[in-house]
Amino acid sequence: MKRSEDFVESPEYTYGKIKSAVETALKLANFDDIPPLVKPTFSISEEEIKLLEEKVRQTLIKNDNAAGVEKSEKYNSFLEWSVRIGVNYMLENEDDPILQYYLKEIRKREDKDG
Amino acid sequence: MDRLNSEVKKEINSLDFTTKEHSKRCAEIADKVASYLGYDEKDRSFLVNAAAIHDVGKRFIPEEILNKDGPLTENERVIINKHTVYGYIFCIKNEVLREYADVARHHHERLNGTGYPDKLTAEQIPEKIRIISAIDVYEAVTSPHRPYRDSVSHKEAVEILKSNVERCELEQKVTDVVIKVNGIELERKERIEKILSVGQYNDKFKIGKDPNVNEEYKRQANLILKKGEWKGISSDIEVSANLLKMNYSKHQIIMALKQNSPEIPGYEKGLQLNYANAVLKEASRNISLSKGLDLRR
Repeated sequence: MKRSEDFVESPEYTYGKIKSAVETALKLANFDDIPPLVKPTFSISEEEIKLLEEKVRQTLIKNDNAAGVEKSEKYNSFLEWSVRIGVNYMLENEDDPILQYYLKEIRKREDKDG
Repeated sequence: MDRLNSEVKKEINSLDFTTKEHSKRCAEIADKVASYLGYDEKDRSFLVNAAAIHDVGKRFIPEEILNKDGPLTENERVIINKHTVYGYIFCIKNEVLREYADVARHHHERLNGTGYPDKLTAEQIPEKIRIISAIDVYEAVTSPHRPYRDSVSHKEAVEILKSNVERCELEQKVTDVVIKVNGIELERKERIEKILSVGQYNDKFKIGKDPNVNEEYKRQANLILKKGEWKGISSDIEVSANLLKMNYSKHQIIMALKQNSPEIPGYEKGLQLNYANAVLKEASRNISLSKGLDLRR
């Protein structure tokens, strides 16, 4: 018999959950107060931080779009609030695998651009 | 008949657990579980919202990994598992969503300490998180999954959840409740399918003209009577209303109801037609009422 961990979620399932999560968050809370950017706990340039922010923003937009999240004025502040929360966490956690994944992409591109 | 079949599938799917918006299903199941456990309004609302929001951290996972069509590398698995921590950070940083932070972080923890991200053990995992975990596993195995994009039946899901309980991953009590509330929904679905099978057969072969067909019809009717005992008039009204919405003829529904009604306690043979007509009348009235309510919205 298969075990529960043998089942790999389909995109329909994953994005269905994201849609519902976003809709619930938007219904319950406000996201107007975007916290300031934290000081990184490791060495990273301002340019890299900007690129990192853009990477996180694009990921959120792609996933929200794939989930069919409806765009609204509230969504825009929700998106920027989410970007800041995600980036701040990364800047305080150098070992975070998602940060490392993005940094690898950013630095690969920097090397390529010379 | 093809149009009818597509309508039937639509109706069945609306009762199924394989719809796109799975977290809505999670929230619906959470609501039923809360109700079953006698939660008050505050706890019930918490559980429903927690079921809807617990995977919010998945938004932060790079799309090419989240949506990868193939086996994940170890690092990709580590990245996907981080959705629990990102969900926690997302919730904890918001004054209103703060109360859901622990659910977002710990819904993949297991009683025997094999879960993530903090490898908590039984006594460290609150009841509401155990419930969300059980609902999440049930939903995950009954959803369309890769590589076959097919879902397992409720029966198979029950076996899988039971094996999770045997391995001390999920709690028996809450898992039993999740299974039970889903089982009730499944009975409703199966009942509609059984009645439909008689209705369709009637329509296709024109009962009464061919003795062989009559025999087959009786066999199908007996199948319904043996497998499904009478669940009460409200259930029959609900099923009939659904069939009416799917454009089944009144004749088809009456035939199905007649065949399904002899088990009603104290009901004499011959009164089945009266019963079927009464049920159909009430189903029609309910549809009219619901349309009226829709207009007022």
